[in-house]
Amino acid sequence: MSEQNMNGCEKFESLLEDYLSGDLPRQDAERLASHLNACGDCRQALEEARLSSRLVGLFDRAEEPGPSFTRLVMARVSAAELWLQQQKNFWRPLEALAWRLAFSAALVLVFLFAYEIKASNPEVVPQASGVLVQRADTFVTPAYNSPTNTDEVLMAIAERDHERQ
Amino acid sequence: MDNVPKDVAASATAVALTSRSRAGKADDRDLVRQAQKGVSAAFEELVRRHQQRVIAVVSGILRRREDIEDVAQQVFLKAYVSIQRFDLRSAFSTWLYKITVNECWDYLRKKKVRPLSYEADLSEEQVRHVEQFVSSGADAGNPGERAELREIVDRLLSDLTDEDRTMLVLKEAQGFAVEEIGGMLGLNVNTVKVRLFRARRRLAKNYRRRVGHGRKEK
Repeated sequence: MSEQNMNGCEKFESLLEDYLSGDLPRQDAERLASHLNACGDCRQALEEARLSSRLVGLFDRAEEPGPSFTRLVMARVSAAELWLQQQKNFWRPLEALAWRLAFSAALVLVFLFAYEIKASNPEVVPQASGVLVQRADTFVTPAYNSPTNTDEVLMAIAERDHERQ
Repeated sequence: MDNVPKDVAASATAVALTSRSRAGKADDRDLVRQAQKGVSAAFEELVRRHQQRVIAVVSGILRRREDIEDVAQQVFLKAYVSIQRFDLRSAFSTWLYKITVNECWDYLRKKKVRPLSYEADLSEEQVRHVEQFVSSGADAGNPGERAELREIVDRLLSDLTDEDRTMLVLKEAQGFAVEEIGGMLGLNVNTVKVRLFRARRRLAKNYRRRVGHGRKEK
């Protein structure tokens, strides 16, 4: 199974890997055994794979790091929590101030809007002033045409006598 | 129980979790849910359970003893920060190993180094030593000899791609299953098997080329 001429044997690569790991099902093992009997390239490939297993097997499996590792991790976690809390505490007053400013700005906008509506609708204003004028009229002395000269006095007496008759 | 302060209730939950996990009852999902609620004892238990495997993955990729623990701690810190986003659709270990692999690649990128790279030829003594080990079929002798042989294998592995080398070391040296390796690297199981087998053959060819058998074959 040279890399240039692997077309026929490609399908056996995963089986060979399973065989090396000891995970090959019985049925596949029989199929692979009959192929290996006939294929020198695959037999060589298997030998090469075994050699590399032996070489890489020299590396030791990682050891259990022990409780000190757990303590160090949790110390870093606590430090990170503390930092996050500090960040929150730093921004919290600014956040409250920003909310207050936003509320004040919204209030100002509402007032401005109401003023704008009031200013652009003049019909409302005369109604209110009309009432005021009426009220003012009740306190005003009724119109009274007092005579300004003798002729007017005579005319007024004549009109009064005429009304009586 | 309504009058019990929140922190006391949380610590009671933590004690219960720890005792349950000691008895082997609390599974990872329970612990993750508790950790998502802010129970740090639950996260501590998860660290305790998975630290050995995380260190195995890190040492499979980096294999520089001085960096391994630091990177592994960083992995758990990242897991703690992002545990709220973990939706429990996969196993916690799969999610954690993915973080581990990404953290290792990031670390190598930041450091701008290949994990281990040797271009120089092996000395006559090293060649003799490794040939003797391969042909004898016996275990490497004392720890010193073993360390020397490991250094030679590191040189031979340097011609493989980072991913192939990682797969090979995780499978062969750290004992991970192909399913676990596939989960870490986002590859399906069959692809992992094929790539593993080809990586093995490449290492063997490299051995023959650099140790001397190749010369005889020519």
